[in-house]
Amino acid sequence: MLWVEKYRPKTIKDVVADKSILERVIAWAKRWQEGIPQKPLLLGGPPGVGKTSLALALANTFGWEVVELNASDQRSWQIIKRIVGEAVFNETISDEGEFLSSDEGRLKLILLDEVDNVSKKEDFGGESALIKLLKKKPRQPIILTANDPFKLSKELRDLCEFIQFKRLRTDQIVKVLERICASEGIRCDRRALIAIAQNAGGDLRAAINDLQAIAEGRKEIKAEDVVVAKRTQELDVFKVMQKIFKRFDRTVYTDAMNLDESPEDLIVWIDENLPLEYEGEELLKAYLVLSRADMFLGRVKRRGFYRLWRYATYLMTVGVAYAKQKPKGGFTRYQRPEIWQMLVLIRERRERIKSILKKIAKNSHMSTKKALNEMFFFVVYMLRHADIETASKIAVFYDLSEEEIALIAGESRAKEIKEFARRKGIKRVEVVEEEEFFKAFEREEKREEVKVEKKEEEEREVEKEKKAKKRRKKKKEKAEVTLDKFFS
Amino acid sequence: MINAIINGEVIKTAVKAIVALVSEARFHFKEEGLHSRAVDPANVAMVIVDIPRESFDVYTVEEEKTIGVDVNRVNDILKTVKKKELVELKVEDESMLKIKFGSVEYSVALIDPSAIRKEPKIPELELPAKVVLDAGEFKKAIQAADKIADHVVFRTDETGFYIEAKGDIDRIVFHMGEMELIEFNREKARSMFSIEYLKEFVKIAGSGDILTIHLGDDYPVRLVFDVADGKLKVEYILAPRIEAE
Repeated sequence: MLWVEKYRPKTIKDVVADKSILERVIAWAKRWQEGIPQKPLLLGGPPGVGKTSLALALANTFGWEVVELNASDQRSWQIIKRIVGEAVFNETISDEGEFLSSDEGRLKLILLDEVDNVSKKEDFGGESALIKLLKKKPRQPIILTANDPFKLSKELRDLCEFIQFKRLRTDQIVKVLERICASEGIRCDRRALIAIAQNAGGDLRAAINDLQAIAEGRKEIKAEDVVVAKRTQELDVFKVMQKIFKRFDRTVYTDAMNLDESPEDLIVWIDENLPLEYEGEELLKAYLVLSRADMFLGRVKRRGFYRLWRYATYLMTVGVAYAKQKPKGGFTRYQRPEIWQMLVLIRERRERIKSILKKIAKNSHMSTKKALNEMFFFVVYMLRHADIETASKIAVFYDLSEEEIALIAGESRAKEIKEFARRKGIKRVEVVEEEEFFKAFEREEKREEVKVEKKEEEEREVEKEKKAKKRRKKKKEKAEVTLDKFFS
Repeated sequence: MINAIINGEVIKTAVKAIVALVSEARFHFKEEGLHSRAVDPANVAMVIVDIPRESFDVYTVEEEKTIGVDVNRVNDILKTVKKKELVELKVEDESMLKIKFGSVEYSVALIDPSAIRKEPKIPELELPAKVVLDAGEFKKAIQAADKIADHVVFRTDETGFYIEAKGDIDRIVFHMGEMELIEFNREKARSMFSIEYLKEFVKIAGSGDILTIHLGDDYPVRLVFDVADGKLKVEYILAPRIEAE
């Protein structure tokens, strides 16, 4: 039996984690126990720090049934939606066949393990299905775990109570290892345990697995034994960057393959950090190799022929490494690629513009397409350059929020426009006096006579005309009402 | 070595009843017949299937045996079996289940029973109300309720048995008085359930089949179907919905 399973904490007291985390989680569970539904918990953090263990130990401590959906099940959002959807709104029949009533605090914990791994792969609608579900106020506790919670949408994260786990400290790991050695009856050199713990890099699961591998068939572990069993450590991308840029080392290829990043992501990392290290001819050479790697990635995409990935990876790691003349020294602060953030920003901007277009389309009675092609630039121009009164009238007419105006005309202008509208009390539909109503008419006629006018003016007229039409409609309605009353 | 011959409809329905909740299940070939039970992955419902020995045309079990079956696959295959056709089940070694019907012999690899989720005990529930009615009527009520809501209320009082569903703008009430029911003990009870499950359950039933309902207050319901002329007993236990205050 794997020690990782054998020594999985049974109760919350055995869990190795920060005190503050434990307190929060216990408080959360207690409130559930008292019958007060809570937000789901989202446990984020690197692998092997005890997210799943904490959830299971918590359920065990409070005597809750567990419905676990982990990555090993062939799960898609569809299945999650169905199972979770039913599990959270119904009472429980336990694995033992016992009926558990939530009234008596006998709950069932729904554990969604590694949600970040499902999210983007299968179907896109799935995550929003889960969001919809969580908004319906689940009646049973839910815990989600994720290695990288920021892969999840912000909306999903906001629906949960987010707890971030840190990598465990070496001394925390050593403590657990000592406990295991004691109960297995293995004499162990403390230095050996420290070496194992350090090697694991904050991953308790890895440390326990290493310990078991080393202890296999032994009664005693000495410090020397550990050196032999060097673990292929889980490298992070920064270490790989260092190896590429600082040294001439072909093993970086293997490291890159073991990395938890696809070549498509890795190339972006290298691309981002390349200019920080190389310059001149080196930089040129490196980019030539990198572009070749990119060509391979393109071929993979087009043909679905994933074996080409290895060439891409080889070129982008070893190829780039050997493009330099001599090893680099010093420390370089590598950066996260900005492109992903940019993509998100661009998408957000597009969404916001879409919502503006929808408002224009609705209020000017046209399709959003027409709004984009024929109205949008007018509105933009007017908001940016027209006098403040006209601009704020337009803004009010289209019911634009300050954020939306800021997107078009800049923040200070947006503030000015909104402020003006508030001060003057501009309403979307004004109560107009009879004369003004006719004035608008006259002006319209005049406009037809004088054809050559400034564009700016023209636009304002169009605007006025539109408002006039609106008013006319309004008037008409009013008139009808009064006539009806008169006759009846 | 197990060898059993059985009417196609019976085995089809039995497998269909299990598929409603799980995709893998243990089949126990016992002295008194074939037995299987399982809890669904959301821990909300349980199915118990019994085919008594008498329902088989041939039933030779040298020693009692438990096999793990991928019921999803078997269900797919059995869809092609006609109702009156005879089906032969054979387990010769640990690894294969052979299903013969007509001129088809279908072999499917078995799953190690220990790899399947733990088998539940059958719970003892105190359920005051007992209603016996035609399963076809019940099926109609559930299918109608499914159109407008995602949960239903089962209710009994002196005047009979009620199934009520409420949509956003509409409402369905199904009512059967004592005269229309086959058996009724006039006890009072009320619980709410997910239609998602009920509509899967009723798939195995048709008119003429007999359904016994045991109902309590905010308590699980037991639905016992006697199908295929009483040759097969399927029992579902469904946990109630948690009603929002």
